[in-house]
Amino acid sequence: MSTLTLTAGLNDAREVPETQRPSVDPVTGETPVGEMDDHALLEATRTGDELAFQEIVRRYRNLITNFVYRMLNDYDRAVDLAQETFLRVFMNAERYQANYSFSTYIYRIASNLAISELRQRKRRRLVPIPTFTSDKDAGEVEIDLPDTRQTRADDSMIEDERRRAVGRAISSLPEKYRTVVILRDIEGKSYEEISEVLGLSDGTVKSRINRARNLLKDKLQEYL
Amino acid sequence: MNCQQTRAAVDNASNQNNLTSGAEQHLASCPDCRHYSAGTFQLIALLAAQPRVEAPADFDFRLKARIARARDERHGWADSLPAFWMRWFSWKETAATLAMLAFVTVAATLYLTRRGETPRSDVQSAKVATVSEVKPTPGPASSEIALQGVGELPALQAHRAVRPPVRLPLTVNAGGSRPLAVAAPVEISGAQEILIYQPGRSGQPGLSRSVMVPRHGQVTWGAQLSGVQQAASTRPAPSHSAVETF
Repeated sequence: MSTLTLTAGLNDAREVPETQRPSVDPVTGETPVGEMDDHALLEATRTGDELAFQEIVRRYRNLITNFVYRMLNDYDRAVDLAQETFLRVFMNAERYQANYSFSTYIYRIASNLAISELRQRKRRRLVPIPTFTSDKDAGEVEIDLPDTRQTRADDSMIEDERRRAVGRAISSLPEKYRTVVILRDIEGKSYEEISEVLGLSDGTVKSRINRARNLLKDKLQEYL
Repeated sequence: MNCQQTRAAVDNASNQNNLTSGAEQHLASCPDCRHYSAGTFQLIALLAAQPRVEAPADFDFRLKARIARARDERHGWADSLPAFWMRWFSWKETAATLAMLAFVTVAATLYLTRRGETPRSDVQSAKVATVSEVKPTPGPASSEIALQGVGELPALQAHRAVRPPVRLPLTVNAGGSRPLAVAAPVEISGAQEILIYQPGRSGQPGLSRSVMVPRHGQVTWGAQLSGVQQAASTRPAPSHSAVETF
């Protein structure tokens, strides 16, 4: 049984220290894995350094899990596909080419897996039961509300309902609009990064984001 | 800035603080764009405030197990098959086995190839052969063949080489200027050789040629005769049959 932990806010800054300049250990002459950039970590992973791969997993596991969860609205399957993403990174580490940032690379794998899952579900006509509700009902969800000072139960319920409505609205978007709006407005990616992840032109990305936002405005107008 | 440019700037901005001064000036004077801007930024804020899920505590543990399984599957066959073989057989035994397999393969190939090239002479019987298109030239006076229901066919005769001939009932469908054009669907019990003999004119050497007819096969015998080799010219053609089998 899985435990779902919800926290508010955008990306945790400690998880993406890719641009930090690594320092060298004066004793061993090696850079600690925690201070290596992503490319260096993957290079070390190729040579069999398990600690380096663990550091990659530590940095990206929550980001990828959250992204896939927003795509599928199914926590257990999101965890499964997040693991599949890291598995592919590990098994294909030797073939990785540093043409893009590692973040773009891993998001591309995750988005491909999520899109493939959505298409399979569409073929099978599966309707996912939102984990948000079912796990909560089972008493297995630990939720950290962003505004903990808000003590009024009514406000909490309204906020909860709003989040569920947003989740449903995102899930109802067509796959091509869902992906871009999640990457842009939830994951905080730039247009250039989204273009690289999805292999689309900037113009197409902007057009899709605009279309996705307009669809969401229609669906969520009572919350805006 | 006009409305289109301002809305594009709103779409590109992640929040209201990132708007350019030109866009802000336009928003101050355009209620439609102001409404559009407010709705967009509210939606962006709503989406950004969505709770973030985290990976479960056992994520790393499960991932390690999954990687281990994937490694086993990837290397499973490649590693286990040679190890299994070498556990039971030595290098000498392996080499002897491979040599034996190669010998058997070569021998079988040679046998099957030569068997297909050798003419078969073990024909037991023949039932039907049909000359479907024969265009006889005006035959020489020495024509010796008469086919049932057709009349004389001076150009078509056959010989047997070893065994007594088995006569085939023939049917000639057409006449003409070409001496031989035979399409013969043959129903026989086995492959057989048909020798066709064309007597020469005015004492000239005759021509003969053999053809293998496969079981239930059909031989088309027409233009090939233009290239047939001169055969035993002095041998007289049998007077009682046109095509015989051997």
